[in-house]
Formats: sequence, structure tokens, C-alpha cells
Amino acid sequence: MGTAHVRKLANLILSLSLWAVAPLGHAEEQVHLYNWNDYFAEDTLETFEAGTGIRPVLDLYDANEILEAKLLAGSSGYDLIFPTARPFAARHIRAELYLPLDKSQLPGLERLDPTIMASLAEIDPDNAHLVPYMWGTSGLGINRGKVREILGDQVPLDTWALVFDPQIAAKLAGCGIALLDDPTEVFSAALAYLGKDPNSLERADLDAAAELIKAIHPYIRYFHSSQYISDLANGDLCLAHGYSGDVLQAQERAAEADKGVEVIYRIPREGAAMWTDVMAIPRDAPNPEAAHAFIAHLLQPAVIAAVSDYVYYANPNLAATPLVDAALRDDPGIYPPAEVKARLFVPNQRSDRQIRDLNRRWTRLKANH
Amino acid sequence: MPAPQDNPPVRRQRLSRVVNIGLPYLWLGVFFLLPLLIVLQISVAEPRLGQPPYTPLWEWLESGVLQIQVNLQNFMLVWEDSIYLIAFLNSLWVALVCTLLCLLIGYPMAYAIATAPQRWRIPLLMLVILPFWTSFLIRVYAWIGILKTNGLLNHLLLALGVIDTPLNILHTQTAVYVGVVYSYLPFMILPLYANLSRLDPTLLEAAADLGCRPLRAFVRVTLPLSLAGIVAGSMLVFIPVVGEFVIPDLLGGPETLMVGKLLWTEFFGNKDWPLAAALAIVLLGLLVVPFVLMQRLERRMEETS
Amino acid sequence: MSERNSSMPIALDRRNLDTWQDPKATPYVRIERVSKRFGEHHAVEDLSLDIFKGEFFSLLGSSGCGKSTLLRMLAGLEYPTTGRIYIDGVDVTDVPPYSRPVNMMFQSYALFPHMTVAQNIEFGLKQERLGRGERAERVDEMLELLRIAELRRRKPEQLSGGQRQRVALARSLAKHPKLLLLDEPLGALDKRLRENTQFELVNLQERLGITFITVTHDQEEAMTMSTRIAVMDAGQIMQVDTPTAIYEYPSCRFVAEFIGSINQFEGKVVESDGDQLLIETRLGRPMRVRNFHPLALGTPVTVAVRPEKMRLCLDYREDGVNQLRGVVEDIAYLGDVSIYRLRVEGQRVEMTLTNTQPRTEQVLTWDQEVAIEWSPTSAVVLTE
Repeated sequence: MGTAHVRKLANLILSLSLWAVAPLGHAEEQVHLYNWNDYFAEDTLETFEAGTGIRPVLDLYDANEILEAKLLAGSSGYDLIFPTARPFAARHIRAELYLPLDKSQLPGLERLDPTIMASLAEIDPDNAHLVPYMWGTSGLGINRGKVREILGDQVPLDTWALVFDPQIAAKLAGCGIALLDDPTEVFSAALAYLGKDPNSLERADLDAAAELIKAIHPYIRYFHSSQYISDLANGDLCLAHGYSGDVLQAQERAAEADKGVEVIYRIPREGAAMWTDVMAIPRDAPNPEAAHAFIAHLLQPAVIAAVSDYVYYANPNLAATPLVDAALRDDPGIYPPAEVKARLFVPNQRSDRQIRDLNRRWTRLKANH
Repeated sequence: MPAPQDNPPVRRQRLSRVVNIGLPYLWLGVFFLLPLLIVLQISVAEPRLGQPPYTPLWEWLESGVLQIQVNLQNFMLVWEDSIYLIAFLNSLWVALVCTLLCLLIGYPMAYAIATAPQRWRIPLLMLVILPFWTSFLIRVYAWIGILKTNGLLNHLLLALGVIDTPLNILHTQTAVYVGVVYSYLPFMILPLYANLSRLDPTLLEAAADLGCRPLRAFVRVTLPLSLAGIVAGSMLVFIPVVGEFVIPDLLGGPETLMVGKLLWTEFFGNKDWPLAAALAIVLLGLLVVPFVLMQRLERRMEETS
Repeated sequence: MSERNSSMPIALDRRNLDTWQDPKATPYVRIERVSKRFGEHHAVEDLSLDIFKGEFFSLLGSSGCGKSTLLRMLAGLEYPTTGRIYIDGVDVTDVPPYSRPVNMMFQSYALFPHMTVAQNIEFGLKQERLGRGERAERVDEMLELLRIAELRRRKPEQLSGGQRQRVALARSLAKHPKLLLLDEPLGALDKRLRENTQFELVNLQERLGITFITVTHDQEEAMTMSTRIAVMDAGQIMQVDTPTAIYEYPSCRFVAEFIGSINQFEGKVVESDGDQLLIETRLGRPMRVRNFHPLALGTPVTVAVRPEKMRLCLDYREDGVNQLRGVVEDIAYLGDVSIYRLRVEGQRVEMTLTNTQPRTEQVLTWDQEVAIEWSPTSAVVLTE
């Protein structure tokens, strides 16, 4: 669901001020972007302004929910937003919050991965509103040294058993396990571990998953969707259920700190959730022309490859793959091989009622009541 | 002698009185009552997908009939689902514990500042207020660094040999207590200081002169006379802590079930604005009712004396 | 600074309780070479004083003279820097206030605002662990004594200044102290109330037989109430004596000027004959004064005469002793008396005459030349 890129607050303030300090008030054309924190390459905006003369104004969020609340309240003033496709963009399309795209202004759409486009067409018929931006998976972030020390060399690491097998979880509890604070993610992972349909909404399946989560609850240090990045990097956690890009970020930080912490990312063999963040233009966008121009900018293989290099996520632009840094391209955690890719699943459509029920179930489960 | 209503100063006086009384009411009306009515309206609506994400209270049907829809289900759900009751009770409990802790720590500090030599008082007060100049969020983040398993506190305790294995404090209710008490302590100290610094020191001399030892004099004179400060400080801590969201979210663990966090989940996670509004209304009721009762009690005490 | 002058004739005293004149009597309060410093400031400087049982003793002086500090040291609210304090023979120098057999009535009254009148009075009794019944009895007794029974349920904020003063007094008397300290007990009252209360305080003190030590800046108050007065200045005692002696026989210029008004004539001793001195003054007129201390010829002295000791002179002579002639410059009519300001050879002289006649028949008028005189026993000689 959410690629929660929450880094330190200072980081956010810094990047905000970077784009707010420049003088305003000229009659120049602007495009208002609302994107996740830290989700562009360092020069993405500069090259856009240099190429088009349109000044990008960037605002940042760190949760789909915040974006959605602003969108629902109306008159957000943004021209282009970057929500996660399922369930957010899907229901925004149903609520008719988006402007249909003028594909004549978007050269290069044909370079996008057809399987991803087909998957998006399920929620966005004819790909009328959404252009995919980045995609990734949610799997396991592992402190290899510590986990190996506790579990030995024989135990496989690419399995949900590390989290959901109470005996293993009990052993790892001491050095810390964190789960995403997201019921869809955790329930689908539990269902995958149980060998059931990860998207199942059957009561019996959900109850079984809830039982499983209850059983390992005592071994979970916390449920949070971003805290694990720094904790993994510092060695405060052994195991985190997290988003691929975030775990790889933790890996990078741990390597930089050079304190003997090695973080790895694994897509569990039972299957893992795949998510896609998309670009969409709000229906009441003040400047949809400029929004189109910005999408076109990001459709250029070199531009989007630079973003991937910076954020550690795969992009859906097939022409960009050869341009991406080899280390990234060859990382099975980012660009998984075909047989791994085959086991990924996308969350299905759910009604608001179903989501609310799940969320309330989740609140109770977390609090152990 | 002209009739009083013809007297310009009187009229001016009346006008100024209307302005004096009217302005606060206007302020309350625009910035408190109106938003409250909007929240109340949302709380009786039904969630829907759209802009805004709830059904309107009234609608003109095509036949020209005004249709008003009031949906009390949100309040029913808040009442029926035990998770909300538990969250309310835990919020009240956390607020109570933190208020008592703030009082226990804040009173001696306020007393010490109020009885310090005059030239020391302002610097000491500044020390209490100074942390406010840093962002609240950064100060709470700092506590993560202190309390976490690999954090400063555990390193210190391990180095001192007090403990053998690191304590798990972060992401527990204890961490919430620590964060809340730290963040809200100044709100306890300032009203207490204001009260205690006005306390006439000759009253304590009189008590001593009448044979009262210092500790007893404190209990029988200082404490009852600082009651107003204690009440003010406790209110300033208790009320916001009940609805506190940031501290339990950052420092608390999964067991820390508080209304603020539930509100967040309902509002952002579930997009169920009506239920979130209903929760907020109930929370307001829980906080306002004791406050009103307290005021009434105070008034009655004044009348009987 | 003669503390006591046994050969000096003591005129009228308010009572016959002259314990301080009995050399065998032991003092109830003994202050022995006490000094108190606040940083650089010397509030009380090497002060010694004895106060006897049953006295109504007043510490009189202007603000900042150290009288309040001295009183607070007796209460235990301040501790002396050096010196000792004994109460009833016990060294209490280091005894905290709550263990002293002393009670104090504060200038601000310091009533507990959160307690009723009755609770205020009961406060000290509760510290003594008296039984409930006994406490109630004592509270009633005090309410009765000060005639404030109808105020018992009121809070201090609901009382007038005079009522508060009574409550404060009741509270300080409730424990039946042997020594009561009063800090400006009448200071916060208006003039009329003050005068009535002065007599009441004296009656109360006589009835209860308690030793009172009071601090005041009001000389009239001190004169009316006290058995003895200590006049203080700059942390030291200038004179201790009965009100009469302080007034009639001031020991120094400070005391003479502090109490009432007084005319002063500078000069030097030219003749010393038994108990009479002849003094040649700067005005050129000889003055004769009764004095008990032999003074060497040529000693510079001041002759001091109270205005009311002056009278009109009917047989003025150019060489007359204790006679002066001047011009009326100013008249202040006060009803019972009138004050006349005369100019006598460049010096101002004040004279008070009782208005025995209606004002319209006033004997003296402005610019009138008059001769005045006084008896040698009405004047004093001051050497310092």
C-alpha cells in the first residue's frame, strides 16, 4: 500500500524550504506537485523547469491517508499527485476525483510495462486516469548477522515463517521484530503464510489469520510503517516487515554507518504483496496542462531511471531498465526474476465497509483486546 | 436634569459594554461554536465515497421537499464496540496518572522557584519555558533516542551496572507516561508558580509563631491556599492529554490504546469522518461534564462559606 | 544614652508596677549584646535590653531603625548574628519560632484567608494537641474577650480592618502566651479607631497580666500605652524609660526631637551651683536649668524647653534669666491649644498656650511683640 518514506523531520523541512524559498509572485507558470517525501531524484525538478520553463512547487506527505483526506475535502490546489494504486487511486476513480488523461500529450506511454498496465486497467478501465510511477514489494528486512547468530545457518530467510512461526518469532523477539501498521499488508502476509488466498475476505480465513497474528503478538515490538527504517539500520531491530525501497534504504544507511550491521531484503517464497504508485491529476487541478507536461517529463527513460537510482524502487518504464544502475537492476529484491515475480500478488478491490471492518479488527488485534 | 438615556456618556458606556461582552462571544461563536456544530453535523451523517466523504444533513428533493437525515448509528457504534470504551478509559487513566505525576514533580519545582531569591526567579522560569522554543515533535523524537533499546538510557544503566539486559521502555505505556509528563510539566509549573509566588510569606511565619512545624504549615496553609493553582495546572495537563495523539503514536506501543489514535484511524485510515466526529463529540462531553461539575462545586463552596 | 538614671526624679507613672526599678528583680526578657546583619546592612547593633514581667513595653523609632528586626528575633523569625536572647531565664537564641512560648500579632495580621475566624483562632490550639472540647472553650473565650462572637463563621476577606485586628489579637492570645509581641498593632486602623483601641489594649494587658512588647513608630501610641519605651535609632537604643521621663527628661537631642517638639538653645556652662546650672546662650541671654550631673565650666550644652512649658512674661527685664522677647510670626489654632511661632533674635521659638479664652479674645496677635519665660525646672540640659 503505502511506500512510507518517512525520514527525519529535519529532512522534510529541508526539502520543503528548498522549494519554498525561491521568490514567488512572478506571473510565471507553475505546477503544484504533491508527492511522498524523498520520492524524486535530486535533479528531477530542475531538469523539468529547465526543459519547460514551468516552475514546479512541491508539497510532501508521508501517508496515503493524508493525501486522501486533502483530496476528499476538496480544492486541494494540487495539479499532480502520486497515490498508491490500490486501494487509494482505485476508489478515487470511483469517486470521480480524477481528470481523464489526454494521452496525446503523453508521448512514451507505450514504453510502460504491459503487465503493469493490464493490472492497473482492472481498477482504471482503458488506463484512462493513471500512469504508473514506481513499483515495489513488501517483504522482510533482515539483520543478517544477528538472525543468523540466533537461528543458525540452516534456516531459510526468504519465508514468512520468520515472523509467523511462533517458535522462530519467540527466538527473534529479544532483538526485535516490527510489523507494518497496515491490516491489509499484515493479513495478506499471514494468509500467504497459511497457504490461503492472500486477498481472501472469507470470515474463516480472516479469523485464522487473526489467530496467527495473536499468537505472535507478544513477540512483536511495534507496529509502524516507517520507524523500522532507522531501527534496522542501527541494529535496534532484527526483522521488519517492510517496503522494499525502505529496507534497501536501511541497508544503505547501515553500510554508511559501518558498524557491522548488514541489512538484507527478501521477498518471501510464500508470496508477497506488490504495490504500484501512480500519477493522477485531481479533477479540480488548477493547471492540468502543466501536470501533463510533468508526467511526460517522467516518461522519459533517463529521467525515471535517475529516480529509481535515487529511491531504490523499480520503475515500470521498460526502456529505462537498461539505464538503471546495474546494482539495482540486478538486485532480486528490486527487479525480481520472473519466477519470483510470478508469486507476487496485488491487493483486490474492497468495499469501504470491508476495509473499515478490517481496520477495526486490526485496532483491537494490535491493542490485544 | 436630562433623562439618563439621553446622556451621551451613558450611551457610550452601554455601547462599550456591548462591545466588551459581545467580542468574546463573537469569538467563541465563530471559532468554537460554529466548528462544533459542523462536527456535530458530520457525526450524524453517513460515510460515503466522494467530496465531502459524508452525506449531507439536509437535501432539497426534486419535489421541493426538504429532507433531513440524522443517523445516530455512529454514536451507537461508539457505545456498543468495547474498543472505544476501552480507549476512553485508558485515555482517562493515562491523563490521570500523568496529571498526578506532573503535580508530584511540578509542585516542588514551582515551590522552589517561587521561594527562590527574586533575582533567580526569572532565570529559573526561563529554564522551565526554554524547551518550548524547540519543536514539540523534535523533543518527542529525542525521547525515542533516549528510551530505545539501543538508546542512551539503556547504555547508561548498563554502564552503571544497574541492569544486565536492556530495558524495553520505548513502545510501552511507560514511554507514553515519560513523554507526556516531560511535555506537559511546564503547564503544571506555570500556574502553580503564579499561585505560589503570590502566597504571603507572613502567613507561614504566623503559622510557625502559632506552634506549627514547617511540614504541617505546608499541609495546613500552603497547600490549601495553592488549591486554585493545583486545579488550574491539573486542568491544563489533564484535558489535552486525554486527546493526545502525537506522543502515544511515537512513543507508545500497540497496547497504548488512546482516543487520539483511534480518531486518527477513523478519520484517515477508515475515511469514516462521521464516526470520527462522533468520537470527538463523546470525548468533548467526557471532558466538559467534569469541568462544569467542578465549577458548580466551586461556586457552591463559595456560597456556603 | 543613659539607660537608667536612678537619681532622676520619676514623675507620674501609669502604674505602680515599677519592677524595672527593683535592682533585685530578674528580667523576663533579656537581650544580651545582640547584633543582626543582613549582608552589609547592620539592622541591630550590639543591643542589650531587659524587659520585666507584666510590662507593656514599646520599641519606638522611625522605619528602618531596627525595631521590627528586634521584635522578629524575639519571635524567632530571625536569628541574631551575635548575642543571646533569654526568655524567662531560658536561652532561646537558637530555638525555632514554633517552640517558643511567645506569640506575635503581625502588622498585616496574617490571618489565614482560607479559614473562618473561629478556625483562625483555633489554629494555634490545634498545634498544642488540646482536646476538641477544650479548644472550643478557648475559642469561645477569645471571641468573648474581644467581643467578636458574631464573626466566628466569617472569612477574613469579609471583615473590616478593625475586626481583622481583633481576630488577629484573639488568635495570638488564644494560646495564653506569657509574652505577646505586637508589630504595629494599630498601624492599619484609622485615627479614631486607633485611639479607642489603645485603651482597650492596655485594659486587656492589665487584665490578662501578660507581658506585651510592641513595635510602633507612633510616639503618641507609645506614650499612651507603655509602661516603658525604648527609643531606637540606627539599630541602637537611644533611651529606655517611662513615657514621662522620655518626654520630660530626654537623654539626648535625638530623643528630645523625636518625641514632641522642643525648643533648643545652644550655649555653654558658665556657672555650676548645686543642682543648678547657669548657661550663657548664643542669644546672649543667660538661662538657668536644674540639673543633677555636675558639668565642667565651659562645657558646650543645649538647653531644651518644651513649647507648653513657656508662658507669657509679665515682668520682663533686660537681664532676666530664662526670659526672651520676640515677635509673633505665626499662629496655629488647634482648638484646645494654640501654637505660636515667635522670632527671637533670628531664632525660631515655639510656644503652646491653652485657649482658656474664646478665640475672639485672643491675647496675642500677629506681629505683636511678646515676652516669654519658663522655670528652671521645666528645661533640660542636653550634652549630646
